[in-house]
Amino acid sequence: MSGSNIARLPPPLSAPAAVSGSSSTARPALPLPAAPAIGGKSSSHTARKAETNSKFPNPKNCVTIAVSSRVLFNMDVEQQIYEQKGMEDYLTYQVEHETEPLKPGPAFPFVKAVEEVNMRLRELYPDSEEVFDVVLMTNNHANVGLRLINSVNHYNLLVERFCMTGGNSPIGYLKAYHTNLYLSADAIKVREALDEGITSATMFSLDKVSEVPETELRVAFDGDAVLFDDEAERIFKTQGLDKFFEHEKALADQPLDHGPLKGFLEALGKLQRKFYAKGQRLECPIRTYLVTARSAASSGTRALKTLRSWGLEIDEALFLAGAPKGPMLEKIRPHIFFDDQMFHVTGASRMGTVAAHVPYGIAQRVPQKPPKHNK
Amino acid sequence: METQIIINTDVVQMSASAIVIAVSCHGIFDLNSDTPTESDTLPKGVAFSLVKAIQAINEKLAAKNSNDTLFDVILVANDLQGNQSKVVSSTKHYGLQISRFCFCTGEDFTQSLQATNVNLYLSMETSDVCKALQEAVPAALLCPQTRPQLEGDEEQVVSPLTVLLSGDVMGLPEEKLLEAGFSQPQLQIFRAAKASMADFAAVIGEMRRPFGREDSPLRVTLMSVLGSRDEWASALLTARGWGLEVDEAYCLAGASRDPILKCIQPHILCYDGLYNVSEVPALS
Repeated sequence: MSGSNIARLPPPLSAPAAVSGSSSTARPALPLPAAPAIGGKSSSHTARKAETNSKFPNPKNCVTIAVSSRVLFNMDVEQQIYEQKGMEDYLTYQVEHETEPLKPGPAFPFVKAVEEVNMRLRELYPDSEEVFDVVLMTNNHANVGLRLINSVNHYNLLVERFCMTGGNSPIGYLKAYHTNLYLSADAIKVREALDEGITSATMFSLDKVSEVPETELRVAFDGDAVLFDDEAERIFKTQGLDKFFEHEKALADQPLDHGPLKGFLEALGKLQRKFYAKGQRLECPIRTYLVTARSAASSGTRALKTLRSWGLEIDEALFLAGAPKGPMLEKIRPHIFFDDQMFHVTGASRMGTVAAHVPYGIAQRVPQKPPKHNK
Repeated sequence: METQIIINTDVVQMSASAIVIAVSCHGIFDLNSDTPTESDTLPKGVAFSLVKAIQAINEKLAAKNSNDTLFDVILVANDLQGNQSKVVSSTKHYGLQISRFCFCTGEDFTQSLQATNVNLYLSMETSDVCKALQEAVPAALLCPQTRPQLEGDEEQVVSPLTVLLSGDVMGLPEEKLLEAGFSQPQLQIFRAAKASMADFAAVIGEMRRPFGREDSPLRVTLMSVLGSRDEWASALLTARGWGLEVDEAYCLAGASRDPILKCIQPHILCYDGLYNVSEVPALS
């Protein structure tokens, strides 16, 4: 994925030469340096911006996706330095390597696909603000900013909004941007965000990533405790499979309550309908999947009826009846798959699917073990 | 009518090498309060915590026992009409480390600022800040704080002094402002802010320099509202070139800045003339 769109690297952003930094007199006055020369944006970025009629959309109207620096880019090496040697060495390293673009991280293919959707949306609706907006939301110190900008420029990403909180919690900023989805490598921040009602999931570095489509954004969701709340999950975990079946059958016509990712599915659906409205149902560049351990014959009914009652569509519903999700996901090749159980997240990752953990519901409190029975 | 300078005898006067920060007393004390108070003490104003935050910086510097420059806070007031003694007594009541009071009358306060070798002037009034900037006195907005302030003498953890710099002043070319439809008066303020920016940054940089990246009693934030990410990068590089350590940085790319300001809660905000705010938005 990373090989396809690399623009020529613009001249490195480097600090202006020889400005005296030390003074301790009563009125320290540093000479104002000439404005440092920044290499122009790569030509295709400029062209793209002109095409997209670049007026920055109002965060209230767009679907805002906040990604942390460690999920947009691969910062494993840097993270290790931080953990082992501390803040100073970490920052020194980042500044020293400022002109080296970072490698793509787990959310990179997702962000690229999101940008493709935006291009298509702008072709059909040039003046609309109902598009995706990707914000880089990081806890990092501002000193890392230049490396991040260089990396964003290098891959020609259309990320224009940056929040570097220098150690402060990102929660307030996520709310300020009306964030629809927050992706981070830090499980604690993700939990905090969920507690504050912000859709959020944890992502992990991957060793192996399968090729994913470049022109169609594919998002896959688990059902219970992701799209739906964990009501049924609770029954299954506390009272067992048979009770779960009984319960779901009895309540087949009663919609489940919503889970943390319902809002994001809704936002995707809204954008999908913009394509349908222009007669592009078949060529719609957004495709959604439900990948659930429920079984089609029985407990799946309640899931589908719930979605219908919410007025939400899902393009493909895959009822695995307890079978492992990895192989199915490998066939689907989504850009991201949301699940509340780490077991499924790791299973998917092992087979090359980018999976994100949603730390919601009873699965977080009950020890994880692989399911023995079909659901 | 003359400017009166009164020395606070409760406080040791600082040496001439200290950096002088002149603060308008209208934010530090509530001069318009309706609630009757015990005779000579004014209620705390919405920016009272600024003085405490600067004090915390001085205390940390003194504890380090180095030769770092200290910060000398003086209170400035324009046309106080008889409240001078209350300002002095309230300062002493709260034990504020304010070395001098500068009571001006009429429009001559910028001359007074220049005469007292002020390095930075802070006021809640944009008009005062503009006047100072246009006289080449580095000046910035003093922001109301909505963090709960404890009454009485209770010990309070002082939040770090937060300074917000304008990335647009530092990195945005004027042509862009003209394109965006800003008026000539706004551009004039923008230019004045730009001219003082280096001096302003020098003062803030000096305050920030002795402290490490974590647990600093002063945090520097840089925010670009209108600029693109490359213009923001340019601002970051400019700050680095000035030796100014920036902790937090935001590139809003046109998003409304009010919600972000609420999160940052700056004490001091660089005024760039681009926003028609008569006061910084209520940070509630």
